[in-house]
Amino acid sequence: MKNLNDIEIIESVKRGNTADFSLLVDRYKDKGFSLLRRMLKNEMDAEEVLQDCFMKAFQSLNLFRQESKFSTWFYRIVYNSALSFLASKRRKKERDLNSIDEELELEKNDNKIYAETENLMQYLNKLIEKLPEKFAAIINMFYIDEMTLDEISKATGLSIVNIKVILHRSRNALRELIIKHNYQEELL
Amino acid sequence: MNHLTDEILNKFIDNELTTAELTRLNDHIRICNECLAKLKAQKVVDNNLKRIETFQVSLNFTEKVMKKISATTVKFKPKKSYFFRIVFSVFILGALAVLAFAFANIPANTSANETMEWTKFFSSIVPKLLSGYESSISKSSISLIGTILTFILFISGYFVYESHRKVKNQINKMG
Repeated sequence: MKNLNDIEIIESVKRGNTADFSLLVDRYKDKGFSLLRRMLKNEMDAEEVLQDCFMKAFQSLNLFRQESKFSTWFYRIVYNSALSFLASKRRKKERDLNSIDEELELEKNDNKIYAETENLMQYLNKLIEKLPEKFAAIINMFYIDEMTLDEISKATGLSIVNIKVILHRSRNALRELIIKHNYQEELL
Repeated sequence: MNHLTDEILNKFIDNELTTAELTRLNDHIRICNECLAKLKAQKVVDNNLKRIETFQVSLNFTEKVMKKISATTVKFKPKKSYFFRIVFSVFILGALAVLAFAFANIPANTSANETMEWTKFFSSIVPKLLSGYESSISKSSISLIGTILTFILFISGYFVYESHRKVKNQINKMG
């Protein structure tokens, strides 16, 4: 059973084998959790929202038309749930969160993060935690989940141009801090 | 001297530079330490972003989700193959109709034997059935019914074969 692909698992669940849904949960729980933790900046919230995401996915499985990969469809649920959660938490309208003009205030926290971390990897991980949720989500999808720009676009509803803008702005901001601490020499 | 722009640096990382742009970039970083440092830093960012940590959810997470799911009322009903069932039912109904028709003709030909015992009745039912056909149905009608039955049998056979082939394919896929 472990060798079944996503579509085969979904077909099995639709045939009535509800327990097979656990294979999908096992397959995507850590990826979904990483995305949510980076967006929500809180472990407990991330786990709670992720549970709801799997529930939503299960209940809407009949609506999954296989036009995209299951992972893309599922990430769309996760991303939108995270935005809704943040919107309700901040009492802010979702459209505000959909703006890509957010300020990257990495510089503000930089001295503290640099002092607290021991190496480049730790430093970078801490910096990413400080990225605005949408930026963190796109970095996560692009680098950890190795999604294409097209898949990220389908999952987030953002245009490819906007995704590129976010990706470039994130990289550029991180690059400036890397130069500031002379970490670029670690490449050699 | 035109320094490398952010766009060029990002295009370099994404392997989107043309050969001409790549040549210009190489020529420039040979003489510009500032841009070389930027390019190195951009690579450091890209290389390390690929290795950022994946967080792990709590150990019993799957269990929690599955418990929640089993507590909900939404259940998936298994898909049933109604088409095959319909074809099979038509065949059975057809066969029953033919038998009923044959039985309906028996009393007319067997009125003198009404008092015969059940055992005798069953032992002689086949020839009586045939005699019923002979007396009440013309030879052309028999061949028509035979053709229809054969046709239905062929159709049913085809669908049984197709259904088996599908199941076999599914099993092969799982393997």
